[in-house]
Amino acid sequence: MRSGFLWLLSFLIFPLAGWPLLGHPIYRRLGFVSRLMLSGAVGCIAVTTAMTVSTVFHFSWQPALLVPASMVILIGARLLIGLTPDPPRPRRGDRFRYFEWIALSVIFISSCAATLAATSASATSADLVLFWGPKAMAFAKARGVDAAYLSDPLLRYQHFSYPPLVPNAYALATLLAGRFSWLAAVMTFPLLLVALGLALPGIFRGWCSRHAALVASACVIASLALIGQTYLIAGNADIFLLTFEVLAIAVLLGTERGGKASLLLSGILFAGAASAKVEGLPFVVAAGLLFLLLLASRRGFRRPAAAALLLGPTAIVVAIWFFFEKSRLGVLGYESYGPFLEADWRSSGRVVWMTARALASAGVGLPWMLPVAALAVSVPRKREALVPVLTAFVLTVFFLFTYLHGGDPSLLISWSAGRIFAVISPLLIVASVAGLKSECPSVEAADP
Amino acid sequence: MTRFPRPRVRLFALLVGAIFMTLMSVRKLSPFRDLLHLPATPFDRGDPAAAAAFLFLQTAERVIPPGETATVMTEPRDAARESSLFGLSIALIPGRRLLPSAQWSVFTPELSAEVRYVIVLGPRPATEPGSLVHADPLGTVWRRERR
Repeated sequence: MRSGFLWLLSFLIFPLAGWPLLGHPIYRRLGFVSRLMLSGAVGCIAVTTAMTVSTVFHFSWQPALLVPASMVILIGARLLIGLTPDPPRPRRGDRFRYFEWIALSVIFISSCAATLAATSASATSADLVLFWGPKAMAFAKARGVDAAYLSDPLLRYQHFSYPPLVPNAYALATLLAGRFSWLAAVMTFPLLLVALGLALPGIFRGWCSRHAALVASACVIASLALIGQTYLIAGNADIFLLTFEVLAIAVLLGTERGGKASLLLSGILFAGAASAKVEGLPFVVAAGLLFLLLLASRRGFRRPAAAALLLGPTAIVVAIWFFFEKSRLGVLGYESYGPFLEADWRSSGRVVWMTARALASAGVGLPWMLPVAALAVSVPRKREALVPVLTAFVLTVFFLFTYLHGGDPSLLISWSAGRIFAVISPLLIVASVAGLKSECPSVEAADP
Repeated sequence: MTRFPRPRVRLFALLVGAIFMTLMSVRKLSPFRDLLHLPATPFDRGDPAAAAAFLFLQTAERVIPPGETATVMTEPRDAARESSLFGLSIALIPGRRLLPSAQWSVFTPELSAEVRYVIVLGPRPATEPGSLVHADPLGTVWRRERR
């Protein structure tokens, strides 16, 4: 029990590690709570990347050195932003209206439901015990990304090529707590959901009204809590991936005209998504390219510079992991279910049908149907909405395409579709509030 | 008649949907009295079979000395289940060399024949694989003599 608490408490070093970047005054406009949560996300990405880099250079992990090393990297990132005039701080809002109180209650109750599902061991992912946990224990024991363990032919089911963010984060907690704790690992699901619930209102507030920000946050948290409980994601990497993806797209849409800060922050969060799970990389490519094509020049960016800030961090973390793979494991890239272009097109109808059936098991598909219906009620006439909508569309097509590989996909779809398509729901929710500042007549215009 | 702006309708739809999803999450929770007790394993309410295997493998970890070789079988034999139990044993019995009795739902007798300790989930096997080290209602642990 005590080691479990220590294991979870060790996650507190992440906001500390991330503060050199989020402490920059430019981020004050997000509000303190959002900055603190974003600092945790950025710190987690920086520390776990530093862990992989130190293994590449044959240094064994020393937690007392990893955190300062990550802080130095983030101080370097802060220098990229440079000195900027103090942004306007968030205006203290009026009293909450009943609409907003309901949204806050939804965030609170959904977070409690996710916490109770995790503490009662009814939402645990089998993948935690099959590979995320064992990898973390092996890495903690070896004090590095253990190449010998990953190359063991008997352990091929543990997916040697999966990116290392989650095993590294769990291994660090194991080193600090003295042992791995299964129940504490399960608690990462509600922990990250609560962090997301605290971070999102401040980020959304940068580009939509307060009540739209609260409603969108409530909807994202309620959707992810339901998806997490239905498809059993507690303890695996899905909640890390979803946290980075949702934060990245929310920060990206709030990018200020010509300012590098939000772009760099989104870029780092993109890198987190790409290092959390294999599915993170197509998300980064789709969302990043769509932003560059549709919004970058409108917001006063030169496309090459914006691309470097937005996609550079992902390129770096993926290159580090692939270098590790090539030099220590003798392979390059991610495992696949067969040659990428050799798809079985005849089963496409079946794949779509089985995916729809799998998604229907979470509240008759409400997490996906709801934002689609909300968008259908009134199509947002803003380019901002196009980025998340088209990202969702591209990812949907891509994920369906991947199911056309490797023979009978029914088993694969039944156990993975709900988790893999989870990101589509928050993307569409974000799209449905994008641009609401100018459309909605009741919005306070003076807000930053 | 008052006409509501469409973005407001969109927000209202999202909020109502969020309330429904929250209610569904709450409905999915275990009965209230179960929520008051900390689980013994991460699978207590989600997958009772995995929870039983988890508990028994934790017991086996205490009776198999570090550095020894071991495998997990089921009684009656089931290649699919033994494949997943191999993964569970890797997680729960660290510090021992675990070899699979089945992988990818195919028995691997050439690997499991090599081990010193045999963990059997389920009833006592008809043919005893060695001398009994531990027995409880969930299964047995056996030690083979060194050749």
